[in-house]
Amino acid sequence: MSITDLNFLGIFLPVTLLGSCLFAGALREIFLLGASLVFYALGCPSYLPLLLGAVLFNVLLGRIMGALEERDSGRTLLLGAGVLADLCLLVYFKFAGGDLPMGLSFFTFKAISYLADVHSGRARLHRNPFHDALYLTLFAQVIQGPLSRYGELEPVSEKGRRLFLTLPDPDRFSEGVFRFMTGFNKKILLAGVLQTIAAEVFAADPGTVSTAYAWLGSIAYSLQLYYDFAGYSDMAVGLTRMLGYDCAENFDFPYMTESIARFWRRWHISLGAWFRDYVYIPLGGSRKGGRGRLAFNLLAVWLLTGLWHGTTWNFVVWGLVYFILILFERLTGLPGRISFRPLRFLYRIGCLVIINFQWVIFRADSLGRGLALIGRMLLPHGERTDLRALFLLRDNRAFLLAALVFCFPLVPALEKRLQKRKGLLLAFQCLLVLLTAAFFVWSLSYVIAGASNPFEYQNF
Amino acid sequence: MKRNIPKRILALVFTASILAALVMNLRTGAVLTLAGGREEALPDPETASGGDTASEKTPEKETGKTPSSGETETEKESVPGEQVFVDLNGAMAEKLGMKGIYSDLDLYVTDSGYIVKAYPYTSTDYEFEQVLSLKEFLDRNGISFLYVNEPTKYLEDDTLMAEFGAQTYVNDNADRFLERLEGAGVRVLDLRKALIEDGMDIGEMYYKTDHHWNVPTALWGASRIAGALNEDLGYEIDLSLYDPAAFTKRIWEKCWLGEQGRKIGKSYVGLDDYTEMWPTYETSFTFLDDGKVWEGDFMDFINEKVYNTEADVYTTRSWHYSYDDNHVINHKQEKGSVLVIGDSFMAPCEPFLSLGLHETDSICLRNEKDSFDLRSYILDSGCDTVILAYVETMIGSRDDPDNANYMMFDLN
Repeated sequence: MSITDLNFLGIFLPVTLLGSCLFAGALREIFLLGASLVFYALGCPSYLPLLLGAVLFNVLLGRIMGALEERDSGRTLLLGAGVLADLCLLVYFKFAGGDLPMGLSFFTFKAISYLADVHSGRARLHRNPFHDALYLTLFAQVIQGPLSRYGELEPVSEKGRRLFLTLPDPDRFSEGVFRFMTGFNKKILLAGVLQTIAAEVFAADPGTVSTAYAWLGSIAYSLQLYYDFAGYSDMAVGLTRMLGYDCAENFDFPYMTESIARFWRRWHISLGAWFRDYVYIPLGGSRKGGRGRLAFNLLAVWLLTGLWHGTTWNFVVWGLVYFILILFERLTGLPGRISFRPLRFLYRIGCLVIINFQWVIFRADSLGRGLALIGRMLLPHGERTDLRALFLLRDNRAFLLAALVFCFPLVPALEKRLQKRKGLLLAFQCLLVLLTAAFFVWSLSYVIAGASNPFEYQNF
Repeated sequence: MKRNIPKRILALVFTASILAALVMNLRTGAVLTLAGGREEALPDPETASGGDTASEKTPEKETGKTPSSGETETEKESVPGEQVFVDLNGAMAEKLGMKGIYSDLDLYVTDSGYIVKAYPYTSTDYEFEQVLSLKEFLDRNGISFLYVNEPTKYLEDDTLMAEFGAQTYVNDNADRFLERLEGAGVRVLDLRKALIEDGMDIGEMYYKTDHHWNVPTALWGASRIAGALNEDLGYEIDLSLYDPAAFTKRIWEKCWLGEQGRKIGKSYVGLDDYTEMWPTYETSFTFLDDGKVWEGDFMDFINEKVYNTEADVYTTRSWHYSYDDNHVINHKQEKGSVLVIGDSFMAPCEPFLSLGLHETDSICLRNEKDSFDLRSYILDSGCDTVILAYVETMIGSRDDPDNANYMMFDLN
């Protein structure tokens, strides 16, 4: 079951919300854990025993670590064993081929962060061990994150030690609903429609496509992936808030980036933060050793980032190219050293073009096909445009335009400007809510018409 | 969190809506049938790239004057409000001028709301070998053979390229295939050429929202097939039997939605008209079906219960299947025994064809069991001619094992 399914909206979500209101405290978390396992079982029944085993293993290790003295060397031993086992599972499935258990990459990283945070003392263990299991399996985040930390999953609205009745905080809940609906609209209306263009272009023989067709497909994919993943993240944040928890943000208008390095502080923020905290900094970050050490640390991070997404060559190359680009920026101090504004703007555009090429490598079935498509984009052979590209552009112009416009933080900017004009702000908020509701109904029509697609990151 | 009244109202409406959906679900269990969206409820044209969609089940054969299949008029369970959403989807696509909202399924909408589909290239090797093998078998057994090519909704593949930039090979595939057949000595009736010769307008021969030809076109097809039997195989069928002037017409305006239209939404493509036709002259048939035998006239081919203008156009049985192809003996004719190996295009065509023949039988290979032995069936039927009549989109269906028409050219 996906969080865009009608069964999710019409059965699972209302039942879960009712249950989360009926119960409180430990009982509530046990109920949510049960609901999350049911959610997983509905989406990926064959791997439910594996998930249960992995959860039990990690929670057991975490709890034993928590019970040991801080200086006990057994804690480090347990951390090493846990991390090794989690990684072995991930590596096995990544290299074994076939279908990956749903959300395994995300689960592994959350499990490692759980063990590492308990080991380092960064996270204080909750008194209820079911809370740990809930952290690892929460249905809103189990498929594709965000990679929130153990310490972040605190029930914000709970007071006292009741076992029944939890009234949700109305503003947190309504903000959660709004985020969920916004994400749903992004996923279904924008990512879903753009997916048809991208899928068609990437399925074509790169040797036969026109330059315009290749560019259209690559831009459509760059936008699709953003709205697909950011849409999912909005829905995950929204659901988590509806349940009374906080959730880490995962996107911050990444295509507004000033540089390649900053792009990765705006895109899949929780993954970047994970690599920073659990790979880059433990390796020494940028403060230990010279440039060589810095290069090695960045290489490790980006090679692993590539491999986390997939074990084929295109992901390895994709990660290595980001390593080179980010190292280049670190060593040259770009774009900070550019003071001439038009040049800074050009640098920005250049970054977006490179990011677009990188998504081509990322999306292509193989490295060769990706490079061939980039070749068509850069070195036209014969046709520069064709009827198909023009048709797709014309047919999807409204969606492409909307996708481009919403890459910019228009709504937050407008809300900020209207802060001091209460009447206008209220009118704007009403309009925003009405539009969100209208688009949600339209999105539902796509789902009912059978035009919704799986999430892109579900495959990682 | 800042207090935001509009968002609170939105949350209230959302919560009430999902709770209402839950209650509805608990009462009907209906949303479970929607787990995969409409793809589960309606045929996916992509899985039937041969053009005749997967759901094209031959309706239950009628047994007697009063059709028996009218009890269950719907093909699937409907969830209240489902069609409203599909209509909304179609209406928005129309407002945005989207011609290729289902381009991932190779479906396109022309300016006049005519739904067309693109088809991939195929070598035609498998189809050619199978037809040739069947012809040799029939030659050995002294049975005549005619291959009939039924056109799809456009005659020029370039039409889709010009309007949608979409590459389609359906006519190209048919051209190459028919040329090979003729080269190998197979008698071929290409109805594409026939309709050009007769000066017909292809835009009026098909339903806008369905891939099938309409009833007047089916009658025209029958007359051309009868003409080919006369010219090529020495039959003496009275072609005046197929004169449209000898038929009564009953026209329903804006009454039904074809399978392609059900996907795109009636708010976008509108509803199709339907024409029912039956001969003004007297007819007399014996109908033979699965061991049941009954006497009747031409009207027994037609299940008029399908013409339910009150039914939900999305869920009611396709009006195309109101004509049924049966095994019949025509008491008004003394000569001619034909076995039609056909597709759904032949469903409304074969009743008309049977008007000029003594005996007409039909089979559709995708509906037969794996154990079905076509060649024994042909010999047992005692027919003097086998007609293989397929829409040209069927060519290439063997390329995809998931295609609903995968078995259609398995002629062994």
